[in-house]
Amino acid sequence: MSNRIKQEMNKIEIPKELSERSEMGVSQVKQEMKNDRKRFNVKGIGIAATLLVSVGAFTLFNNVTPDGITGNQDVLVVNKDGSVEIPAIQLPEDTSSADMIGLIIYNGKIYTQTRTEIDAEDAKAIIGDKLGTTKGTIDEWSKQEAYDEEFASTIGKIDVYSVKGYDKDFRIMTYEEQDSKQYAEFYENLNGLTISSGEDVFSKLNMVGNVSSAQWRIFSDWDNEIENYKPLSDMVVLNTFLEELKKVKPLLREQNSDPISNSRNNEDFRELTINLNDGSRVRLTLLKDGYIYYGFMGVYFEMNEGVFSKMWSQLK
Amino acid sequence: MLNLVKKAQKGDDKAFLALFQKYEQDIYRMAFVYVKNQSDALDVVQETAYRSFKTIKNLKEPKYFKTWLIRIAVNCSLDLVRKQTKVVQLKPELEGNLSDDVNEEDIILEITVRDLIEQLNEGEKSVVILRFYEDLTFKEISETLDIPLGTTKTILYRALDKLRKNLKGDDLYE
Repeated sequence: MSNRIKQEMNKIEIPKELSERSEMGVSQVKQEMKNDRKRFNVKGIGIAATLLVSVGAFTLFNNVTPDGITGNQDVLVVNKDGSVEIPAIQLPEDTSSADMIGLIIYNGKIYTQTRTEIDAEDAKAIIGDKLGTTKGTIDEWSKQEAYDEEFASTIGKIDVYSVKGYDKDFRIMTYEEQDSKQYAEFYENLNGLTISSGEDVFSKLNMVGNVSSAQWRIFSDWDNEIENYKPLSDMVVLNTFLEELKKVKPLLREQNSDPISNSRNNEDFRELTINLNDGSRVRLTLLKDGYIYYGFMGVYFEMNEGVFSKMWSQLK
Repeated sequence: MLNLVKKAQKGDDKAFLALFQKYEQDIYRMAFVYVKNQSDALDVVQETAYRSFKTIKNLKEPKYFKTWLIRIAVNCSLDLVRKQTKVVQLKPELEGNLSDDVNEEDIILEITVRDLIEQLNEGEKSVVILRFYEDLTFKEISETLDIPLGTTKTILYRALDKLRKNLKGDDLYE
């Protein structure tokens, strides 16, 4: 199959001017860089002042999430009490380098694809009321106004339901049956909120007291999508860990100090999957130094060392 | 390669070109499947070179250069198609008849470039090309196109199903 497609693709003839066109693209940038330098000489003082202001502010131009997908590009704010405000997703001014993630607008909130999954069979049992049907109206070129429309989405047209046992302000579900196949996916509202501690996120996942089993895998298996999971046997340690998640401290994912960027290796990185009684699977990323990531958020969490290290020792 | 990326990130255009030209043929052929003609496909290559050199300083993980570049190329292609057609659905609806037994390997095929170009919509082209031409894993495709993993698989199976059905349809008339 693969070879067939390759053979066919390779039949597309390469024009002689191909390399020249690549060079032209690069030259355009070089020319712009030269022009920028000239402008800088004239307006140097003004630009320097602007840079200082930018560096001085608490800003985050969002970065890579646990699985490498770029999240939103909003400015997050750290309050004096240590809580973090995550504003509603806004479109960046320059959308040419922006990334699309699966999202649905419902009740004025933006729900994004998430790190909790469920098999369609299990989803059937906890499907709640039908809330509406999405419209596939948002794409990379949409203006901000498109985000204001109820049930606008980036995922095409699909029915949306509430999920029994979960707050619909936090989680909704898409569900569809076609030709005896079912598709179900959770979407979660993890923006436009203030996070003071892990409780503001993790308690919504209803994990405490509802765990059926858990397993973990190392970075390379996760990265290559190899389902080489190892079971987690000590439920006492896991339950203590889940309780402690309520107390974890939110930290901003800043471009140059996000620990995950230096932890993409088997020593420092674990994916922990927690299976709940209702069939949902919550996937957390744990880093050796006590950090925890969930979903497509501009924050990560830091856990008390004692509890975390007991958990980490189970993941070896 | 990582060294070249680092040099390019510092503005070294020669290093960047050396990197880019390793992939320019792939990019051209991918673009051709979307835009369907040489002149536009060349425009996509030039625009991809422009956007990628301009933003390479923001690439945090040099080892992901290839998938990062492919993502830009796909976006440039879709931009151009969009200009021509006004509407492009990045992630088409989950519709169409999926057979129960769709299997990547069972389509032993007479697929042609024309089938890819004409039978598949933009989203399906992206997934098929990334999977079979660029040999990306489902996870890499989902990251490159920023769509959920499950959706990636659904789109691929639907695309294969479509190609297969079309081939069967062709057979009927032979």
